[in-house]
This record gives sequence, structure tokens and C-alpha cells, in this order.
Amino acid sequence: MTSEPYDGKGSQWDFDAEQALDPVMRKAIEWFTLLSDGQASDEAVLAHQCWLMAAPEHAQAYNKAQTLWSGVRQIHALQKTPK
Amino acid sequence: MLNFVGLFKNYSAELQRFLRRRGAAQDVAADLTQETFLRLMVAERKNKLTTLPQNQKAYLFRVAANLQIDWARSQKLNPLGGDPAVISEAFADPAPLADEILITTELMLILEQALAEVPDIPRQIYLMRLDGKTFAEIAQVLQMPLQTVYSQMSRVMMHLQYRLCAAETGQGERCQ
Repeated sequence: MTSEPYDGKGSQWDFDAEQALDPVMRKAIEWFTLLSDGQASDEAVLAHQCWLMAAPEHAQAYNKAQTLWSGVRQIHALQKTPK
Repeated sequence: MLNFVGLFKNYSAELQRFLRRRGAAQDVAADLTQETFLRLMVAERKNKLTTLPQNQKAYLFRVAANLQIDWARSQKLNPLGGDPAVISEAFADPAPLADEILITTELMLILEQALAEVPDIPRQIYLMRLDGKTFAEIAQVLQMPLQTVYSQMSRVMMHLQYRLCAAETGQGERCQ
């Protein structure tokens, strides 16, 4: 394990995250991440509600992020920690 | 930008009580309150509002009262008499729940391959999250700023979503 902060540089990986996904989907994933461990502040939860209500595409994208997460959790449960 | 979070915190409970006193059922009052804030956001987005009118509270309550009147009117015009959302639910097929989605072998392979492309550190973060660790715990273990952990986790998810979407649609750019 390293203690160097990870700078996120890497060609294909970099491109995927920054360029390839639709901006609303990227935002939805950022929201999902922030709320996913149940530790987010009340402010963040309310701000997220506002974002969800602001446009129907926001809610659709957020659903996709949730679906992705429940999918990978199922895989993870089936495989028991791939190394 | 109006402080929606502050407004919502200060007034949502009071607005709901106000609507209930005016005869709205609990769920209707909650919906109309959300709708009131939604209207406010739309109005702001259209640049009609840069600040709320002098008396913020009176403005919110007036919007809520108008919405309730509209709602009551729509109930009278509705031949089935019920909440439109309930009626459309009765006709719609039940949507599959996210938790019930069956993982196919193909999907598993796509995600596994995508994860193999993720660099070590973000992959560790992702696996720790799957094992139920909180972001604060991960930041502690990896000796990283919390913000970095969040952003790296997001990027893993973005990468997976991109690979999934690209496999489904065969399209490379601007995937959703």
C-alpha cells in the first residue's frame, strides 16, 4: 500500500472518466458516491434532493448509478473479493 | 444563487403544516411542498429571481397555496377522483427493482474487464467500498485526503458505467 496521493493519470482510464461519459451521468455518479456510504451531511442530502428534482434526466441518471452499484455488489457477493 | 438548502430546512415543515391545515392529506402536502421548491428553482433558473421577494416566507406560502388550489381543481376534473400518480401506477407494469436485476455472465465479464483497466489505488478504494468500508475509513487506511477518495471512487464508477454503456450501445463517445 502506498501513501502517495494518487494523481489519476493514465491514458485510457483518464479519457473514459473525463471525456466519454455524458456530463449528467458523471454528475449523477459523483452524487451517488458522496451519498453511498451513508455518512453524508444533511446539507449534502438536501442539495442532492434539489439536484434530483431539477430535471428528469438527473433522476434517470441517478437510477443508473444505483443500478450499476447494486450490480457490482451482486457480482462481488458471488465472487467473494476478487484479488 | 438562492440558498435552497437553507430555505428548505427553514420552511419545508412549516409549509407542510400550512397545507395540512388547509385540508391537504399528509402525502399531498409533502408533494406540494416539494413542488413549491421545484417551482422556485425553475423560476430562478429562468432568471426571474435573483433574490426572493422581500418577504421570502410569504412568497413561498403563496406559491404553495396556489399549487394547492390547482391540485384541488385537477381532482374535480379527474373522473376517477384519485391522485393521478396512483391511477397511472394502476395501469403501468411494475418496474423491476434495482436489487432484482439478474447479473448475466456477459455483464459480469464486461465489468470484470473494465475493472482490470482501473489502476491499483482506485481499484483498492472500490474494493474497500464493496467490503462496506466508509470513505472516512478508506481515507484513513490509505492515508489520503477524503476528497481524493471520493473522486477516485467516482472515476471507477464512471469507467465501469462507460464500459457497460459502450458494450450495450456499441457507441464510444458521450455514453450515458
